[in-house]
Amino acid sequence: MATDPDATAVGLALLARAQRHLVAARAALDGTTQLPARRRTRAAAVFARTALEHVVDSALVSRGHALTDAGMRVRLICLRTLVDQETGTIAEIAWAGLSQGCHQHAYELSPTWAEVRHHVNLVDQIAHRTVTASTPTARPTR
Amino acid sequence: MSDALIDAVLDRATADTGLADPAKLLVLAALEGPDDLDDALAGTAASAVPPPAPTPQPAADSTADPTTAARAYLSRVTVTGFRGIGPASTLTLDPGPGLTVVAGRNGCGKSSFAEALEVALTRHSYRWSKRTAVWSESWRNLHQPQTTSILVELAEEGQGTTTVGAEWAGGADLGAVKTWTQRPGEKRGDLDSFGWSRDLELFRPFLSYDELGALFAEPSKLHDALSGILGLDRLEDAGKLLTARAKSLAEPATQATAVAKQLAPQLTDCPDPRGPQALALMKGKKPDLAALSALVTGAAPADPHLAALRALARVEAPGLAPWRQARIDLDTATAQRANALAAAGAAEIGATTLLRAAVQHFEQHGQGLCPVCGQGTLDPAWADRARASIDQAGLFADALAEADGDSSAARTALQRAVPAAPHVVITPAPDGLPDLADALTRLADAWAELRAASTDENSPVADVETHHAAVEVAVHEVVALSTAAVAAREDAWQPLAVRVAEWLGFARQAEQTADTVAHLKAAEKWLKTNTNELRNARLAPLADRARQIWSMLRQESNVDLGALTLEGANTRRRVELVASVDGQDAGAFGVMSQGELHALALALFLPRATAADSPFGFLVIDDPVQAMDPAKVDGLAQVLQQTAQDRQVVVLTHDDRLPEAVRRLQIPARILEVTRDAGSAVVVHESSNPAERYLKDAYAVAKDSGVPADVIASVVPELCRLALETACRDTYFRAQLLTGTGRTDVENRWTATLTTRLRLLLALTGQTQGTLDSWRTTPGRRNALKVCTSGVHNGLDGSPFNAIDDVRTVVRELAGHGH
Repeated sequence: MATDPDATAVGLALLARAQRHLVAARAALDGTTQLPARRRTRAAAVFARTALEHVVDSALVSRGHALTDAGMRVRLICLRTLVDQETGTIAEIAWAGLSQGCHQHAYELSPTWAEVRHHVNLVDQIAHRTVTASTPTARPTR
Repeated sequence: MSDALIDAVLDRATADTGLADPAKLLVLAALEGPDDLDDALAGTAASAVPPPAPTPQPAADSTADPTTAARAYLSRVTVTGFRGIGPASTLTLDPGPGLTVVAGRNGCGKSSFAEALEVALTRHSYRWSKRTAVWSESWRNLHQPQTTSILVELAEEGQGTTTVGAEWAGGADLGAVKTWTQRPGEKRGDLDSFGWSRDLELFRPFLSYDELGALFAEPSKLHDALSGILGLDRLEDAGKLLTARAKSLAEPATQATAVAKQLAPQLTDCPDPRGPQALALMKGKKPDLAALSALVTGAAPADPHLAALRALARVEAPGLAPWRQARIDLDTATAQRANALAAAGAAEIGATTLLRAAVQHFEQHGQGLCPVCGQGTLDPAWADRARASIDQAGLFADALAEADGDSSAARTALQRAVPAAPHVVITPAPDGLPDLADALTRLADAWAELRAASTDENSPVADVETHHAAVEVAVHEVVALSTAAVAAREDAWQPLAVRVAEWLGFARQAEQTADTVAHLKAAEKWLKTNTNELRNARLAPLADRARQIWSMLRQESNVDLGALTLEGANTRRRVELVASVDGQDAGAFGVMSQGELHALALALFLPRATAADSPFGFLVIDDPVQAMDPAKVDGLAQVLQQTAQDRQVVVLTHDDRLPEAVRRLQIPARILEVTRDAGSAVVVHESSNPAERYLKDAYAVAKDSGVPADVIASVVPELCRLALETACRDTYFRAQLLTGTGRTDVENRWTATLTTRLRLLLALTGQTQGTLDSWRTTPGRRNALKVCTSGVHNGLDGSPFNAIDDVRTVVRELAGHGH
């Protein structure tokens, strides 16, 4: 698919936003923020989840699909169908894990540090894939 | 079974130049089993290395990998009156590789299916073997106490649908189960006839939560499980076999040594010189078996002493009869000569001579006066008288000459009547027999005296007879003594000769087997020193796979799995596992949480259950999720997806975490739900399958108002195509595998069929020739096919909802197809 220069720009901007959220998530995890210890993992999960949204949007936009108005489930389905299966699966895992961590579910304790770190790493991974895919030298995936 | 082991041994043995070729051959033959080893020992085995490994080729299967067994997949499990299941209930599965999640609340009866399956196939369930009697007594369903039966249908590659049944009579114990099996077109038979008993133990296609947890309870258990699957017990068996054969082949040598040890002092002390002689021949590295054999059988040059003794034992006194006859003949001849002399004296021998001259004179001159006296007249009458007188005188002379001849002959006979003593008598007696020596001297003397007396014609007969009697006494004495001496030697030697012959037999056998025994011992020693490396070399790929599974399962766990080795032997056998936490070495199992241990157990067991040579294409895992963290469930789902690529994986789970992960990760798995109504009526229904999930996703995309139309037009047909192809694949695989087609053939055919149209044809007809015309009879079917073919390339035209509905209808038709 030919890459629209505007779409590439929007995609990169979204990725940059995602990176800022990822930095915040890592800071929360590492305890370098002012957050109280018991809320750090949940906060990190929230930052990482937002980062994931931006990464997914970036990946879709850089292929010419503006889906920011669609629900996240549909965006993930489209990511899998339009971008690539593997990125889609990793995004699904990260999304489910982080959503679990963001919300206060009945009978559930805060997510563990290791769990959130794992999911933050997954978002990082998708961001990396997206950067690689959206840089002009990269070959189209489909 | 696993020829990979043979290959590993072969590689290692070939590389080892210290091991002789025959010994290598023996190592490999021993690994193949007793028959092969015996063949190799008999020299009938093909001498080529490696030995031909017979790999039974499954019928109607062109599988390229010879170590891959023909597999059986589950297609249906029907259970009546067993555990949580009352009236007959059926769990229908898609035979062939793929993942099925069977979800149901605790107590819904889903585990009863797994247990029933295990009982029918193994007549034993792990859970029960660990529980109390109360548990195993309550196996019968209370709502269905009369009939209890289990029916398992398997799609067997190269066979078709094979049925395994288990039935209990009303009131029968759990152990009193009647099981049977039936392959298509064959009579009912015994499960054991499939040879599955050992494989079920080895590969254990059933994993329960309890069993996973128990793996780490005993160090030896995991060891046995792993070494069993790797076929490592064969190494041990082969070692034992080599030892046994070496021992039995070395048996003659052992016996020979034992006999020689017993015999040595006896042979040394043997009065017969053959004793020490035999001992000398038996000694040394290369005993002279031929010489010994000659000695034992008497073919050897006889001992001169023994020969002399034997001759002495046969000595006889000379008979006196010839001598007596000679004396009588001599007397007769003497008397006749005297008579002849007397008669001749009367005839005046000198006058006869004168008379002969006068007769001659008369015959010349005729009648005339007597020239001697001058008075008488020589006339014919006188001549007649004179001639008669001359004849008579001749007769007398003849008689005298005959008498002279007779007496001369008689004298010669007398000289010969008693022979000289035989040589043996005048030879000194063998050493160590003084009595015999004395007796022999006496005999020689007596014999000499007898002979002296007998040759003197003037000896009085009585003297000769006295001497003869003395000889007889001496002979008797010598014979008695020498016979005793011979007997003494034979008595001492004969039993020893028998033993020496026995030793000889063993020694001959030992000589023949010596080389083989040496090779066997070398083979045994080599196997022993290489077992540890071999087993860990064999374990390595499995350990790698386990690490790989662990890395997927562990997700956020900070425990890293390191080396996995089998160590120790006998009661100290164990699995050594090196784990590290955040890069720090840690004692293996101690640092792991319960959930991690379960994940680890699964990581170790999946490779076992999915070993290439397992005849089971299926794997039933009962509740692996129980102790897992949410993130691990995602990992598990992926591991299961990977495993399901070439195995039929059936996972039972009591909550929605795994089904949810499967749905979310779009893992191509069927999700079945088990519910249990009043009266133990257990119902299984499909709650979700991959095709339906694709359509659900398509629906979500179509319905979302935030999705631009162009995205809908491209995403919906794509998801519809995925749904249709998934359904086609399932239908085609199910139909083919149920009729016994090998999965490799099915997979190859499917992969080679590229277009959606042909794949649909394959699902509907089992082949790619023909058209879809007879199928494309309704507008809905036509639309569905169009959406999934041209729609994918050109984008959707028309309502996405209609497209999804039409495809859904086709997908559901296909699901019912062939079931």
